[in-house]
Amino acid sequence: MKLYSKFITLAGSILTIFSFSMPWLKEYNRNMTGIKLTHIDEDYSYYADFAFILTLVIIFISLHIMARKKPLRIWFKLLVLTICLVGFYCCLAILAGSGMEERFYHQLDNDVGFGVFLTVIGYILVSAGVLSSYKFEHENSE
Amino acid sequence: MKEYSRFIVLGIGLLAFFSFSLPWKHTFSGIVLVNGPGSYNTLILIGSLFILGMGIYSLKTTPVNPRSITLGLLLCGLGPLFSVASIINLINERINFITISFVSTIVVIVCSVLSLRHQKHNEILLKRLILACSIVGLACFFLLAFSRGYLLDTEQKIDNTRYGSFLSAICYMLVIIKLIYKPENEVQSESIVDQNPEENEE
Repeated sequence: MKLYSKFITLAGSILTIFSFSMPWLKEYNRNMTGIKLTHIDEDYSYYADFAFILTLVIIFISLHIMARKKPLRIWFKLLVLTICLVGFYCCLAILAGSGMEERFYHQLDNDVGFGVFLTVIGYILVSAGVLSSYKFEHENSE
Repeated sequence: MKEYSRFIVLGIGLLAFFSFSLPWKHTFSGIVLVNGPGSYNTLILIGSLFILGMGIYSLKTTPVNPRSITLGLLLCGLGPLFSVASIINLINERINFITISFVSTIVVIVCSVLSLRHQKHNEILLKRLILACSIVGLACFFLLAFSRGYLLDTEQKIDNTRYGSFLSAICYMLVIIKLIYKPENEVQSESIVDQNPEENEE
């Protein structure tokens, strides 16, 4: 595994955890960060809870990848990709289902903050870092 | 594609994705417009076209095999059926071009992540998909920019396309340029390979 793909994974996981301190939702003139959204009980806040737990798991995984000197095993890569896909789904569910249609019909000030987008970008970077290590490991094994 | 150019396309795709959190039109951010009127029917239309594409791809690429031919024909039948149904639904509602733009951004990101796996037989297909989605996204921007009062009520016809949509359009243009443009060294090396294929094989 080349060094830069390790750093891409680490950078993606740091971006994901950092994005929870950014605004995620704006409802009725309330700005909610990702962490605050995990504390309240609403329909889509469960997705935020789940995304936060997955982010913590990804942080530990990326630290493990940084410390590891041997190439990653295929089941480990599949595990990371599955976690990223589930996290991606949670963020898309928040983007699609957070009462955006009300904005049109009732002229509310609801909006989605850029924190959700940064989380998605973080998940994509983690999966890109894991996927970009394929070729080098294949060459090393030959 | 070279190693770093794959990451360039991925980076531009991520920037285009991030632009949906910025204001696109009037006071609406991109993601609000993505979820606007007509989004569900537009998503069904995109899904049905995807099913049709999968059917054509499976008929073209897979070897002669009764199962794959049956699957391909089934998908080729279902795709147009769903697309006609969604078009009939879209007669009452307007088609949401920003949903199409959002989906094309997601496809660009997914294809550029998949192209990191260095599988040469998929590379041309992924490149074509990225190029097609970028052109579709750019076309959606032009439709948004030149249509007056799109997605807004008649009382709110304030036609101000804002910087979020321009950022995404710039990203699509950069992706198209990146995929079309070839540096002179690369073109020369390709022409040498074409002229002397036997020497290169040795």
